[in-house]
Amino acid sequence: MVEWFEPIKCWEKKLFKKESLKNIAERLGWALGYDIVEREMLYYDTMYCFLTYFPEELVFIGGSMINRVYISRGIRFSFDLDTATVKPTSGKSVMLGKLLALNEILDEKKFSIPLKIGDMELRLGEVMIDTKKDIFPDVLSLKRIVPAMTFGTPISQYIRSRYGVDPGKEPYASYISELRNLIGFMPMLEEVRIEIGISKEGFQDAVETEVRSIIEPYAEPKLRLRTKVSSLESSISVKLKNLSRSFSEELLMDFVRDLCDLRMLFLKYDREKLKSLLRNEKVDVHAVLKNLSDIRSRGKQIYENSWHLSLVRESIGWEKLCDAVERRIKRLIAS
Amino acid sequence: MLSRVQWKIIDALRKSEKPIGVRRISYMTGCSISEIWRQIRKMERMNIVTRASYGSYRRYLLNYNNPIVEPLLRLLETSERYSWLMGRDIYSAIRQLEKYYITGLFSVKGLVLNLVIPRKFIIAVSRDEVGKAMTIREWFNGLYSIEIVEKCVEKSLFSQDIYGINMASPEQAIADSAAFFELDPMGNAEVLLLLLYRDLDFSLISKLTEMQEARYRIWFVMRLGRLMGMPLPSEDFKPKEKAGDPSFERMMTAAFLRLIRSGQISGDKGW
Repeated sequence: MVEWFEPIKCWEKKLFKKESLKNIAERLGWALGYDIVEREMLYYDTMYCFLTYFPEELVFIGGSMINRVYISRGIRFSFDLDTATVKPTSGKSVMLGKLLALNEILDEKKFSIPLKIGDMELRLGEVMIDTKKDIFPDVLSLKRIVPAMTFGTPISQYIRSRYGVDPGKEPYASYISELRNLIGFMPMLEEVRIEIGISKEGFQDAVETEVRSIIEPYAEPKLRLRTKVSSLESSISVKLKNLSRSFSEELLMDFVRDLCDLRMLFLKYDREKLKSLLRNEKVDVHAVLKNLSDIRSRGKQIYENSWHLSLVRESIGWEKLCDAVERRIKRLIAS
Repeated sequence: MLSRVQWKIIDALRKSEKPIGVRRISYMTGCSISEIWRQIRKMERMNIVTRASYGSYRRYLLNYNNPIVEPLLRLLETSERYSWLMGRDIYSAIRQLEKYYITGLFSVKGLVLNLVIPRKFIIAVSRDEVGKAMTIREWFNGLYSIEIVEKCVEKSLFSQDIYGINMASPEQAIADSAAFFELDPMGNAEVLLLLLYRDLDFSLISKLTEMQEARYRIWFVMRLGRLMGMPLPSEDFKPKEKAGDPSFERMMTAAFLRLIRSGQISGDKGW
């Protein structure tokens, strides 16, 4: 039997109690969000071990990074770990060896521990390929299985859906029951999504920085992640590019999300560098402005109802957000 | 062309340390004295045998000065060594062994998903049959590629196939392929991949795999499978000391990629 949160090394074990999680959530002002606190702790741990020990240099990119590094007030909840290889990489095949090496390091450092259930061996903390999502040749979709308490999938349901075994049968039933009695709650499993973008060009426009957790200062990680992240200008450029796609209802959720992240335009950035990036990437900023009116009229409902955006809502209203972003894009074009 | 009796005479003279007479040759070959007389005179004329007279007694010996005698003796030795294999096909020849089984890709060829053709017979035999197995290997040299492995067959798991040949069970084949990987790297890689897509008794494989190096190989393949989300018991095979074999890992990874690219085990098409 295992200590359930043993592979989570970035946080004090005592924090993995409902009372502690609730306490942190209340202090953060997230009244019912204790599961989000736990989610963030598991995400931070994954982010730390993956970006620290992956045997090739990676850049942390995407919304999760933006909302931990660049946006400090009214963050958008995002728990996907998006990365890209710094060096040019020709395909995903070469990543297999690196993933094996990563898992070996995680095993050595005890970020991953075996959990034997009958003839099956789950490894808490192990990174694996997300075969259901891994469909693009230039993106390697991964997941890390982490132990959880307040969210995720109960272990019995997890082994049924993933491995097709009946958790009501022996030896699974006894094991799960024993484990539950030992740790004092129904053991849950969560899969933290990770992506590695692979390109022949690599990703050079990165800066090194410390990445904070969104639950700071009410709980601080024992191990702090210092890693390369995409520059502010690159991050803005990517979001503008996303928003310049032809408008469609299917993309509305993504558009609203990208619009929220474009609060990066409120920060101080290098305008010339951004313009150069937009030129190089052939981003049609006028198309963004054109889309904005559609997003403004149709995206409000998503903005008002999505729990991912609850903190963004508290900091800025929908109309105000749209106005402010539009104004800044116009200013960018004008200059 | 030599007659059967003439071959017998050559064989008798070869085995005798000194020149021998017709009666003795007749006794040694089991042919009548008159027949020996008739044939030996012909052989004298052919200069294959030569006569040594001791008074009125005639003794015969092989004429080693004739350059044809040496090749004839070699031919005789060869036919003697392989006589039990002559006219047999490979299966029939293998069936002449008693304590043996075929392992490697041949033994599991109906189970593998990658389209590969087995090219090597790996025959595991008990110590007392190694010589016989080596003779089979020599006889079929050029026709079939055969590797012989000495093993305690009594402790191995195998069963007879429809041709009456002893074939390793999948678990035994995997343990053997891990242990004797170098004997047939391409074939053994395919056998090891069975770990990823066939129902197997892993605890049995563990019992059958004693060598640390073999356990490391199974551990490596299981870890590849784990990357695809398979809950394989890799911890049971983890080598006690840090192990690594880059050429094995390269070959195994390539075979693994062929498998996942085909989408047969994970439905994954992004590779």
